[in-house]
Amino acid sequence: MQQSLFDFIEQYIILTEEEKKCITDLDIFRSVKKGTLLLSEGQCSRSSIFVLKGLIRTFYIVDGEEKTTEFYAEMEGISPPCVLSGLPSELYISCVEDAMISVSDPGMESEVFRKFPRFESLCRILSEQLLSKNQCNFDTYKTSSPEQRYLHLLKNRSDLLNRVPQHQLASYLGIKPQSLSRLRARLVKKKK
Amino acid sequence: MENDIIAYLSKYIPMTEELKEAIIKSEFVKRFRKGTLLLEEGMLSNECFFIIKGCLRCFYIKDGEERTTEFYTEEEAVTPSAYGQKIPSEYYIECIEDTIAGVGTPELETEIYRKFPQIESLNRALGEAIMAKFQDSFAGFKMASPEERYLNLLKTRPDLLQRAPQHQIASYLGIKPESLSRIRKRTMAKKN
Repeated sequence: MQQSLFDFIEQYIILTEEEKKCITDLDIFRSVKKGTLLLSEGQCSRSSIFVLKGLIRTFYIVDGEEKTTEFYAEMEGISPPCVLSGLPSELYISCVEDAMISVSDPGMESEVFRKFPRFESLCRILSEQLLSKNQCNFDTYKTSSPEQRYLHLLKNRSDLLNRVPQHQLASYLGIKPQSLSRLRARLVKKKK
Repeated sequence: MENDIIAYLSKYIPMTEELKEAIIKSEFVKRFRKGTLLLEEGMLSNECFFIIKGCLRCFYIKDGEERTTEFYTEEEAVTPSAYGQKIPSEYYIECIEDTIAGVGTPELETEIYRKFPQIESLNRALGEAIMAKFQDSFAGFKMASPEERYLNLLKTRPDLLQRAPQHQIASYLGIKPESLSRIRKRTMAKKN
C-alpha cells in the first residue's frame, strides 16, 4: 500500500531510501471498512486523512438531516477544520467504501518537515493545488444551477455517479433526491 | 509600503535584517487604482496578491451577467485558481477600492523560498489556515438559506456591506438584489 503513496509523491519529487523508510516507520496506514465514521461531531481530533484507495465523505447534520459537502477519492486528502482550530468538530467524515488511508497529525508533520524539508515544500505545493481545485468547485457551485452542477459533476467526476448513493449525491449538489431523479431523466431524454 | 509586509511577517517568524532588506529591495508592493482589473477571463495568471490595503472582488461573467464569488480585504492572500498554470483564467479580479498589494509570481516565490526556507514553512502553515477557513465557508454557503448567509456576513464581515455595492453583495450571497433588500429590511425590523 505504501507503494501507491510513493508513486503519488514521485510525480513531484524522487524519494531517497531514507525518506521512504521515514514514511514507512511513521506507521500511518490504516484499513477502514465501508460505513466507518472517521470523525464525528463533537470529537476533538488533530488527524488529517489522505485516501490511498476508496472513497470518503464529509457531511454535517443540520435539523436532523445529513448535508453532504464533499467526497475524497484516491490520492485526495482532507484536514478537517478542527485540526487547526482545536475546537470540537462540527463535521462528520465517513467511509463510502472500504478504504486504505494514511492518517497524520501536526506534531508528526512538524517532525517530518524538520527532518526532510522537501516534504514541507511538497505539502505546500499539494495544498495550493487542492485549494485551487476547491475554489473552482465552490465557484462552480455558486454560479451554477443544479442542472449545471450535475453536468459539471458528470464531466469532471463521473466516477462518483457509480460509487455514491443517489441521496448523498443529491445532497452534495444541493438538491432533493426527487429533483435529482427528475433532472437525470430530463437529461437522458435530451440525449435521445 | 514594504514595511507593512515586514510587520505582518514579523507576527509569525523572526525577522532578520537580511529578509527585511530582500523585501525592501524586491519592490514587489504595488498600488492599483479602484476599477483596475488585475486578472481577466481568458488571460493566463502569473500573479498572486497579498492585500495591504484595499478590496479585491472575484467575479465570473455568465450569460452576460456578473456573478461575484469572493471579496478579499486587508491581510488576505489572493491566489487565482489558474495561478502558475498554463490554463486561462475563468474569472476576473477587480479592485473595488484603491488598493496596495504585494504582487508575487511563481519565479519570485521559488527564489524567496530558496533563500528563506522559513517563508516557505510559513506559506504552508498559512495555506492550511486558508484551506480550513475556505472549507467552513463552502460548507456554510451550501447549508445556509439566503437569509442565514446574510446574517453570517453581518456577523463575520460587516465591513463588506459598507465597501461593496449592494448588487455585488447580493450576487456574492447567491440572491437577487431585490431579495437582499427584503432580507435587510426584515433583519432591521426584527432588531426593533
